[in-house]
Amino acid sequence: MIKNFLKLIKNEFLLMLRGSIFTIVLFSLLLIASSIFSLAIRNITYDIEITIAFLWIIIFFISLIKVEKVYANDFSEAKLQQYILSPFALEIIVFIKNIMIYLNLIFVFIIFSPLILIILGVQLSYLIPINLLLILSLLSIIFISSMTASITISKNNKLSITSVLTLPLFVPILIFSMALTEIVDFQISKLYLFFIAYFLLNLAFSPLLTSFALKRLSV
Amino acid sequence: MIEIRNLSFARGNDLIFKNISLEVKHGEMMVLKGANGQGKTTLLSNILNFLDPLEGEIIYDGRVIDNAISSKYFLYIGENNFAYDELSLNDNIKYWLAVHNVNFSQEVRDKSIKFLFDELNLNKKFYQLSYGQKKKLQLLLLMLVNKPVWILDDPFNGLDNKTIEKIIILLTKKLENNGLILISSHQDVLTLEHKIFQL
Amino acid sequence: MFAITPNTLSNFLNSISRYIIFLTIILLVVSGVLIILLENDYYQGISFKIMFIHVPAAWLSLLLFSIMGVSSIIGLVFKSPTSFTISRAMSPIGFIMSIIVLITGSIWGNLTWGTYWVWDARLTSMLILSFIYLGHILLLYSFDHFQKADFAASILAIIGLVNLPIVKFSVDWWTTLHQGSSILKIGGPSVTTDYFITLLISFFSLFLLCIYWFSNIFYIIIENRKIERSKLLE
Repeated sequence: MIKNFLKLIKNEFLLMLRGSIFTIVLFSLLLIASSIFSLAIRNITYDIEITIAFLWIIIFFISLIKVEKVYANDFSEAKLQQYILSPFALEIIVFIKNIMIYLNLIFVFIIFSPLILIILGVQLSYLIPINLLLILSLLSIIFISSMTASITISKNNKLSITSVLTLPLFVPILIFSMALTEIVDFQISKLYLFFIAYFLLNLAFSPLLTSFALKRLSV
Repeated sequence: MIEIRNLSFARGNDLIFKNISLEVKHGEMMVLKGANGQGKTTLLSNILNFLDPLEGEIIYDGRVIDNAISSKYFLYIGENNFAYDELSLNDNIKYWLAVHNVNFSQEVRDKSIKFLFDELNLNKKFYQLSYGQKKKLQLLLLMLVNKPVWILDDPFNGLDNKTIEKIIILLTKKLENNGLILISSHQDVLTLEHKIFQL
Repeated sequence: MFAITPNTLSNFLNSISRYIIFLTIILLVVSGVLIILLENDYYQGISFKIMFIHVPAAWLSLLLFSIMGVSSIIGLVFKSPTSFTISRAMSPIGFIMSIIVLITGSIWGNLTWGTYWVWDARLTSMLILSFIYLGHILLLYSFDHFQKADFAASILAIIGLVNLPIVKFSVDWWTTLHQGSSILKIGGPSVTTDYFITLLISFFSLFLLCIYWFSNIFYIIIENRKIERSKLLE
């Protein structure tokens, strides 16, 4: 069982590498969006909060799109039926897929981040704090959006706008990220702990609910 | 033994079928017949516990079917492809066998591939295969995964006569080993002895 | 709770609903009289009295949501149709309550702070709560099969339940324009006893009104289902 589990992880990693082209496309969109943004407000002086809010919202949408794409592809009906009939719990497969999506997004962002910061006119000394902020918050984002994606992709769903309806659930993360930017120089504070706590909370029930939704709604 | 008692199923406000009762013992094969839209696939999904019936119950060896039972005893090949388009055939086979927790030797795998395909380049991507070849690759699971119950949804669709004969050999062997087979089909291709259930 | 079928609960609720509405009317009249009799606040004047709708509605929208979340968890774990139906019947009421909170709150805010809306954490959270209610209702009606809808909506309710503590205690985490929660503060209530009693009575009258609505909606849902089922199986 453990041998097969490792094989599973290895193949998921392979799949993730194949899918990273889509992530790169998404982040190129981010590049374009941020150049338009900084072009539009080139004559206005503004604080770093605005830039970070912009960056953060776009990245949030990117991860939402990515998760939904991966879920629509990897949990199509036929694949899902095989996953349900496998001895591995669906929760485990969901967890592995989520982690792989996370790694994919993080790696591509770390590669792109210096370029994006230069385009947005942010000092490069913020590079590490911004990456850290994203690494911490993206974990919860991926796990929450996996739940919403599993509801959205279900074939019985008449309204496919559910992912928009569940956006309010991400607002706690948004509020805390904004609160972090208010703290000068991103000093390590209690707020970082919030992200970890929120992630652990999500980790406890997100794979459970996701696999539940997939089983009940998509087959 | 799979036993279905007074099963009814509705999707939304559509009643798909009602009051179905049937019985299949180990070592037997049953073919579900019916025109399109009669609910063959839906009945199979009910047996696999993918869907919850409106009324009635399904019993396997004296126990009401739940997820644990269906994942332990049932092997299902549906109509749609489950393999990953982006992965090579070799990786696909490895992946899905890992998902089904099967440890196999290279030799057995090559022998099974040889039996079904005669010759196959394992470095091809899945999307490069033809329709029939894709179908055959899924049926490879029948030879490599060892579970007592096979549930096949229209397995002969799009296969040539030579392959159908090979599949029938597999089915015969399974029945000799006291397996239980449920097939849905709308065409007559089976030369084997079987029960028929008309939906 | 898991052993009760939806039918028995609906019959029970239907049988007691007339007593509930009777009690509700009495309490509403009493709380109305009390609110009129109370002296105006020294600083805020008569606008202060909007509190007696605003605060109970806020409590209720949170309370109903937590009941919804808990019954969704019970429904998912024990596969009980009763608790799914409870949360299904509850979400429109909770949505109305949260809308009441937002409207009265912005009127009150305009009279005292001079602005209808502030992006303060607590206001934002209440807005989010009403969005979640809305999402829950829309999810319930976006599936053909009511069981699938129940599963999807209950998952949303559970995710939203995580949001609740953040809503409740966010006011303590950030110091903002909004006055701190005055009843549930450690060290006892800070409002005077008159106000406190009036608040409690208006809360209970609103609460009973919600229960009355709930029992009606529950009854209607179950009756509709019976009709549909008999149509299907005939």
